[in-house]
Amino acid sequence: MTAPRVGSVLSVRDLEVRYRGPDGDVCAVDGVSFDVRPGEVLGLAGESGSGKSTLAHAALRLLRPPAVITRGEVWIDGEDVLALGPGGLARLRWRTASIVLQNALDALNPVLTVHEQLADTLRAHAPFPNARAARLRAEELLALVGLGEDTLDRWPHQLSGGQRQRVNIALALALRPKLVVMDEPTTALDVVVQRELLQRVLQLRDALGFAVLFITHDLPLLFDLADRVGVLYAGRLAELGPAAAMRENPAHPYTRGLLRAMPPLTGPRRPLAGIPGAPPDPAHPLPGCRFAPRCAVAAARCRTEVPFAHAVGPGWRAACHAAPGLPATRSP
Amino acid sequence: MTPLLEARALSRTFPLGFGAGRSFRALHDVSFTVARGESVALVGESGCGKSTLARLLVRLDAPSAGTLLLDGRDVRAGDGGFFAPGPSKAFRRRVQMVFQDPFGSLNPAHTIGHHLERPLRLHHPGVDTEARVRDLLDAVGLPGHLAGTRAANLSGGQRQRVAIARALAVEPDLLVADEPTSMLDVSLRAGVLELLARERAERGLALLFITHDLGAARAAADRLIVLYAGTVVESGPTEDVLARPLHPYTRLLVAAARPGDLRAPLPARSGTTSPVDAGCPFAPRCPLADDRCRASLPLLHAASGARAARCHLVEPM
Repeated sequence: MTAPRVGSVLSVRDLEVRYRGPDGDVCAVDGVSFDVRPGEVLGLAGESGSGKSTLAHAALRLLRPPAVITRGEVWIDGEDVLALGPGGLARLRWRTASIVLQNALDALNPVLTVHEQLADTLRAHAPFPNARAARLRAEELLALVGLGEDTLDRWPHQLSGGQRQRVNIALALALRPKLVVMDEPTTALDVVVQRELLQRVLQLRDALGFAVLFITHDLPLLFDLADRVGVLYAGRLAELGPAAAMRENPAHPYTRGLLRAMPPLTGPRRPLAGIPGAPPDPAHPLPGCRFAPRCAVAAARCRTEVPFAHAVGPGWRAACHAAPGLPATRSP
Repeated sequence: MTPLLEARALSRTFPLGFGAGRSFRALHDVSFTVARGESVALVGESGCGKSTLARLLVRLDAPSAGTLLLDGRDVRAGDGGFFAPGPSKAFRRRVQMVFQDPFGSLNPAHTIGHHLERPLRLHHPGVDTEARVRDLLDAVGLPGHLAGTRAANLSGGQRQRVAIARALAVEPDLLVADEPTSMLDVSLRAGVLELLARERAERGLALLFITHDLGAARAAADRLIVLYAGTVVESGPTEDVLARPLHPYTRLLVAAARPGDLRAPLPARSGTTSPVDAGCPFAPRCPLADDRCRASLPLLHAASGARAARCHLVEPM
């Protein structure tokens, strides 16, 4: 295991998260390591059960029992997140790192107006001389996400899905954090609304310089959105690398399969190819590579020996015995 | 040749509250055809009336106005009257549906065999149900031993395959599939689309595929129908419509879904898809709208190459 990278806004090292159950533990995140650099968009793609949401929650220590972090380290802006007490966590959350969840209604209090939600967050972390100043700041924040001041006095149920998600992004940016974790923020939205929201996120990132950890099941979208992309499968990181290089030439068979499984809107019409089989049952983990039963190029070794991540290019690694690149070196 | 299914000016209005006289127009003047063995995709955003239309087509709901024809005959002609309300057994054998949510469409307490045997016994009495159930499971790529398993023990992808097998059990002529892949994981979606394509090729099944995913529509359908605020705004061969959309709304939809530079501006903004009192429902958001668009709803008129658009600004043939 290597030390947290100096200058990273988020460092995750060899993280393991388990769900405790009466029939034993289920391992949801198994030895994942990655860094988010200041100002970059790092995308994590994965299917349901891949551990992507668990990982997002673990990074901000938002997990609740039965989920527990059983191994590894999380560093945010130089702070050891797993060692923080309640006071330290309260200072960290929203101020240094914030989160936008998939279901906007989960994050908004239904009996508070938009203004009350924003003012509440602002006042909890920074003293405002008077209500007027807090309201002005709330107005500014809404303007950032493209909402007018008439939105301030509305209740969440009066807003459309896209507007709610904009309010959530305004909340997440309220205290100018260095990192915003976004867990499927646009999955429930229509395609036009999704495109507008992502456009706004990129513009704000350019202007304000925060880093984004963006989690989704939509790998082709990540290639358009993110600077670097990671692909999770069954709780492990299958591949992580620069978006442009990975899109051209994905190294891991699962990444290739995911890309082929998405019907394209442009280019030649090609026969669709699903990935045969189904994701493994996390309660009964297999030895070796977890993708092996569904993999077209799996060899005997893949079924017995866990592939460790090795470099396939600059800043690019894949956990696959068959992936091209430098000889296997154990690196995070 | 008479189309397999024809929708003629279907409308569906839902009353809002009691006696206030207010109502919501979920569908307005929807007309299209599906030929034997053809695959048609119906696309649009949430709230545009896609699922309401699906329910009308399988007769889970009745239109407020308009006619539905199967083989050129009004589908109501074969109904049983007062003592046997609802669609006739013959209609139900010919038109089947697959729902979006595979967790809601199968009874978790019943076995897969039970789900598949019931339509067989009703529509094909005397058939060897055990052998047929095995064939059906095989056709949708599931192992035969699943027949004894309860639906609760199946994954989403397996359940959706069972739902398709159940719809195919009665050997329908038309399958209405309402977002059959949207609740499935990416790696499993292609498998379901492949399965539907194979059934079409082998059995001449016609498919009406409802989706919000233009990529899936392109993979599954010969023809595309675009729905906006309860009306058909454009239709035509899938590749043509996606490559050169005519209606400003279709242009927006295609631009938003196309991969590429996320910072590139879109031709219009998002907004409500509610019907308007007068004029084109897209006019409030349309960058090209003029006074005529705000005053009168254009008709769906033919454009070049088997295409049609409901827009004042698209040149009619």
